Amino acid sequence: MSGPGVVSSFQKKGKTKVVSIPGTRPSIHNSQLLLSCGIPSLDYLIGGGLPVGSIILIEQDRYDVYSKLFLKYFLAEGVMNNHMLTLASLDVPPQAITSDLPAPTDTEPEEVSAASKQMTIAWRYQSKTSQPKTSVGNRFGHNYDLTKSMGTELTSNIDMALWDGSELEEGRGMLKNKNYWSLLQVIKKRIESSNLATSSNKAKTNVLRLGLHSVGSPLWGSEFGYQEKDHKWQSLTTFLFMLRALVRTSFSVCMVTVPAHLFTDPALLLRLQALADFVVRLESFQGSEKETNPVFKDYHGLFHIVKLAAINSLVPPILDSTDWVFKLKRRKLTIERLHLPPELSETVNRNQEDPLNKPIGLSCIGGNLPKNLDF
Amino acid sequence: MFESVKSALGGSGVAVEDGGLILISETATTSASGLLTHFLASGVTNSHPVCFLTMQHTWGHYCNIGSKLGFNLKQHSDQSTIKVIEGLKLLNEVLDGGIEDIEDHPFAFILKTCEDPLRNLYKLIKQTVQPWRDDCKYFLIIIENITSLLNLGIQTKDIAIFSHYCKNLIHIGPNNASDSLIVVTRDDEKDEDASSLTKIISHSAVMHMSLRGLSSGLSREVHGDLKITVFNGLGPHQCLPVVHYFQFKLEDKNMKLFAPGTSANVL
Repeated sequence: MSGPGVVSSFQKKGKTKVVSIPGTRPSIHNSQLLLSCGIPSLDYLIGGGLPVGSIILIEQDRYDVYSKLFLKYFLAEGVMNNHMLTLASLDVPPQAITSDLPAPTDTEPEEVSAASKQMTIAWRYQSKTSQPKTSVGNRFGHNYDLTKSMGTELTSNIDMALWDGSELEEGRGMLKNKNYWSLLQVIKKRIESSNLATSSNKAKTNVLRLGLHSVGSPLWGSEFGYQEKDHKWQSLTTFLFMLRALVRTSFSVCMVTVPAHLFTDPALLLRLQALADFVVRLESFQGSEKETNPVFKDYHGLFHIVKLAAINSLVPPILDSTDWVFKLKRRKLTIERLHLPPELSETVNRNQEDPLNKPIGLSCIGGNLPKNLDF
Repeated sequence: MFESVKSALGGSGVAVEDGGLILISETATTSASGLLTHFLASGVTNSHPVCFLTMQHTWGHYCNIGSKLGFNLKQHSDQSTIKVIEGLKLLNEVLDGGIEDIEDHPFAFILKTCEDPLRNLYKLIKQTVQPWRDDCKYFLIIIENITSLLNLGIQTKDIAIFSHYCKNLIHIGPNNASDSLIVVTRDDEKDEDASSLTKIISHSAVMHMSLRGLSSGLSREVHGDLKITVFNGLGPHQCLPVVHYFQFKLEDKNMKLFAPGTSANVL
């Protein structure tokens, strides 16, 4: 069975209906139109990319360091493909996020250098053009450099709407919370004004990317009182349900990050998970015991895949591993399989005691063996 | 229609055509799309009319699955042998505000608090199945993910009443024949409301099919557990419900059921 993200080289003969939206490609599994979320390794995990009309929910790490990076990648990818963007945030000013998007690293510089170089040895090949260029107009996924931020010349001509909760309308009915109601109205108007709804017959030339940062944090509303059992958080679930309805019936994708560690009632998180299509949880090692654990010394956190939905098909994307980690290098963030570090010394002796009580399901040796085994 | 599901139901002595309420419960991460497709497809192949209320997924989702299995569900809905009430579309209508008389809209309760929030939705279903009821035809009502109404702030008791009303729609005919109602709930233990709702509905069900992910995590060969509980209320004695356990695997065009521990991984 072919894994997700593997693109077949077979192509249909004759003229196919070309989707002209930049930065998208059809899925080979269910003909769904996919978008990249900016991180190739994440695209791979969720079956090649985010299908149009889906919601990905990211449960933030405790200090919201890495989840913000995911959001930035998601937005940067939108900028590179000229997608429409909408960013909503109350915890940080949205301008702060958009002004610090990672810079793209692969802007075609090869063209000039290749032409000017005179070949001395294989001079016969001088006239031959080098590799056929991949279509630049429709690229799926880019590489980014986290050390530089994207120039304003790239971001300035993007149709970008930032929402910081400064213009509020009174909520209505079940959506009493002003913030949720107003944001929903903003999103709805944007979808309407650019005819992105599937019900309108105009040809779609663009996609709307919605980034919602830290939804459900205390700044969004005071629903998280002591009486959580009264389900005062129904505004949040109603909001996400309505958002799902909006996104499903339009050409848009949505990335929502939630501070899940603030939710004391597990029912809330479960309901949010049921409403989203893809759910991932970031568990950063920052400030936890695992930070000093030699097992995890190469990584920055665990990447839990909670839910992968099957959209328009029965089978969800298949994973070949269950333990994933993320790693923040100087220039980029990647998601990898969890491997134990190689044991290089001749005698097996780790000078640090394994601080984890349970070694993550790798050994089945009981806990109370003598420390030094004599053979 | 999936053969293995059919034979599993046949083995437990339940035919969908016998009628009554069938409850399917899923979890946040395990979807009941497979079983629903089975019932949709079996309705179509036996040319029974179906009323399908979707809350969680779009109708397009089921059409796409159906087309892989060789059913043109879209055509059936155009010919109204399947009548679809699409929750997500109706929700958008409410948000648009384009409807003049919001009072009669099935999701009017989102904008206006009212006494019986689900009354309009029930009326809509009743209206949909009325012609079939008048003809005394066997029909199916499928309600997908009734628990997502909880997200919209509706109380458990209101949903329970709603499901009871829906159950009364599948009337008992002169020769004790009844139509079928299939309800999908989400049943996570940590979500008290959802799981109590599941219990309430299963009380009046003839069969409960409970889908669950593997407790040990994701697997390539096994997607989850299926537990089928058959309540035999009509038997001469008060019997314990009969329980069958299966594991299932979803494939592109099939849903495979097998006895626990007999997956390709193990054997």
